[in-house]
Amino acid sequence: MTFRSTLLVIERELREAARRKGLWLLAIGMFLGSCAIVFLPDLLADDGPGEATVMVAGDDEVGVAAALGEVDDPVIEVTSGDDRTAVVDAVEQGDADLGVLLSGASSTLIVDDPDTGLVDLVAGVVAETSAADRLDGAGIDPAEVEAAFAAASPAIEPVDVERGDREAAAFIVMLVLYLLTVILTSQIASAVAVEKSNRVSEVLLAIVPPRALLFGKVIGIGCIGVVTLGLVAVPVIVDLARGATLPSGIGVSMLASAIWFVGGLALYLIVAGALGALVSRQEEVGALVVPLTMVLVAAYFATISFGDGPAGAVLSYIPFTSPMSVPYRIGVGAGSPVEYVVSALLLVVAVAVAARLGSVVFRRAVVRTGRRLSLRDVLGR
Amino acid sequence: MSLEVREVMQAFEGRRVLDGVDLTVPAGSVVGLLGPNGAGKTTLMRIVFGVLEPDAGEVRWDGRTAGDADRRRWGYMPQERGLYREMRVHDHLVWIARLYGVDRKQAADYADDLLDRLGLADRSRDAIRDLSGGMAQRVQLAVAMVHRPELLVLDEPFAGLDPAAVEFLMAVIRDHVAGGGHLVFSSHQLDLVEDLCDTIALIDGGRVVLEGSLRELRSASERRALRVDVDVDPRWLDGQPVGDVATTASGSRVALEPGAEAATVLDAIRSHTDVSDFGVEAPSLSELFRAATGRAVEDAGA
Ligand SMILES: Nc1ncnc2c1ncn2[C@@H]1O[C@H](COP(=O)(O)OP(=O)(O)O)[C@@H](O)[C@H]1O
Ligand SMILES: [Mg+2]
Repeated sequence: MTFRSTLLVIERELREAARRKGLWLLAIGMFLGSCAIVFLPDLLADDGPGEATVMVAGDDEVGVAAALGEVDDPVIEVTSGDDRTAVVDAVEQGDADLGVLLSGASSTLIVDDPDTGLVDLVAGVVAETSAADRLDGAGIDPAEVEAAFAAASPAIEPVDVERGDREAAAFIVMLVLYLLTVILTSQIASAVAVEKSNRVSEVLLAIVPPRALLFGKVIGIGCIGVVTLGLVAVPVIVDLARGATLPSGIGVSMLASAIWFVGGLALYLIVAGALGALVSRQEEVGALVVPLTMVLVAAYFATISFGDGPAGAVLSYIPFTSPMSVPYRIGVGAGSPVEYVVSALLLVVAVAVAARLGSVVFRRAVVRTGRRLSLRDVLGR
Repeated sequence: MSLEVREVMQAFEGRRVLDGVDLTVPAGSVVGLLGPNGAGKTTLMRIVFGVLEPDAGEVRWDGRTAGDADRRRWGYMPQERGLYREMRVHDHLVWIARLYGVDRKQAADYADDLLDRLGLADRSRDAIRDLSGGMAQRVQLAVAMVHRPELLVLDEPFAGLDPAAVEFLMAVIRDHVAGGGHLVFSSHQLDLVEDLCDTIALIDGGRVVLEGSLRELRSASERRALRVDVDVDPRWLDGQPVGDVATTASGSRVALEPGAEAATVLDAIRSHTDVSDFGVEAPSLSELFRAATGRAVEDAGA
């Protein structure tokens, strides 16, 4: 009977939730946010190659202007200037991004800022063109030389980019988990408080075992959280299915997040539900839940500030903070498998203990109306 | 089949609220659980429904200790009314009936039928928060009986009802009992429910002080009262074997001491004014309460 009642409580919770606008807004907001984060960079990056204007002056015997015109990223518009003054003017005025002065064997680049990619690119083209011209003059095939250079040049492997991306991904995942947990935690506490102060619980307790009421709510509201998280994951999965190159951390991080999210949500919801039963009026619920959400806030900020250090490892062993720190640490690759397994076990134990204590507190508190109760009132004796 | 409460004890924070309460509710009867505020009526009902676990004593149904399965055949309207205000009337009733173990389709039929009988059929798709107070009261009653319980327990069902609503509720109660159901209701307004219950249990100080058929209790009582349709000045009755004189808009009611001759008292009144209508009456519920406890109900309130 407890099982059936629990199912019915869950069913009601979900059905009523589906009719609440605020919840839809939250879910849709998170979904859109996720879409934006996953797809926007792609869209922005895809707006084609950039453009640049280069002014060439002097005797272009080797065909520098023609070579520049063939570059396709950025597309270079080549203009010609009369002399040095004209080129300097154009660069100063911003009419050209860069100027090339050619005089016989020597060449000069007139630049605004010497450290741009364009400077390197144009310098390369100029050097290559004049070198090819000279090699040609010396009877060597420039194509052979080019091939030799290409074979000799080292492959380029950036080291830091990945880590940065992974960190960003972990931050975002954590932010989502954090927001969802805080919102749902307050929601269950006030839902229980409303039922108690509204006296619906009086009707229900005559029919439903108190633990079915509590756990039905926890599971029902928990499902809302999981569904929302699922919505957030959809764009990522779609992107992966399209063969996108996501930052490699995000997949594992999301999987871990799902596990710790469910455990952490269960823990927080059970505690918040039991606390909600202590109030006598709905307005008192805020004061009771704030300490709980503070723990979560503290866990969140502690994790983003030193989550990858040894202090972060400590957070992973505390069930109230591990749902924040572990997904992050997995995301940035800071922890060890042993740490994760121990953390998961501790979380499971904490949920079990909270379930036992929570149902005792709930059962005793929800029938005692009239004044706000303290934990000592219900657990004492 | 009957509900029996045996030797129930309950204390809150060291204060004894129920001190060995016994109560029997046979099938087809309306039992009024009556007593002043704070007497422990609500506490007793919560214990009957297992909302509270009593310190001692037991609740029996059908000769056995009542369990969850038995309780699913009972319905309860608590004194503290409560509904999910945002839920729709029909959804709420169906959900409650299903909690009692009725399957979904049957629950919908029961809900339709009951809403029809309660005159709420056209509001069944509305959220409860959009109903008037009187309609919400009826939904509360519907919640207690949507699963067609054998035993219906109503805590202070008449409190705050207008006379039409009382009439309506009485009709529902009579229907329920006529169908062989059991019904217990509580009230602290003894005179209001005078005509509604065939059996009463008067509860005071945590104990049942008087229990039985109201008719028998009245006729067994030595006390009688003389009702006259005039305003009686108590000084007219100096030296007569009478108790209090209560005066209302319709006349006066003079409590007679045991063995007093009603005719003599009537003559004493008639020597001051004309009396066109009079009668000798058995004691009212509040008079029975006073006889049993030595206090007036109004004074006994906690
Ligand atoms: N949960 C509780 N905690 C402490 N005292 C209570 C509780 N419930 C009821 N009481 C006390 O028990 C007494 C009986 O209350 P109650 O059963 O509501 O009386 P009634 O319904 O007859 O008016 C009252 O004095 C009330 O204050
Ligand atoms: Mg009461």
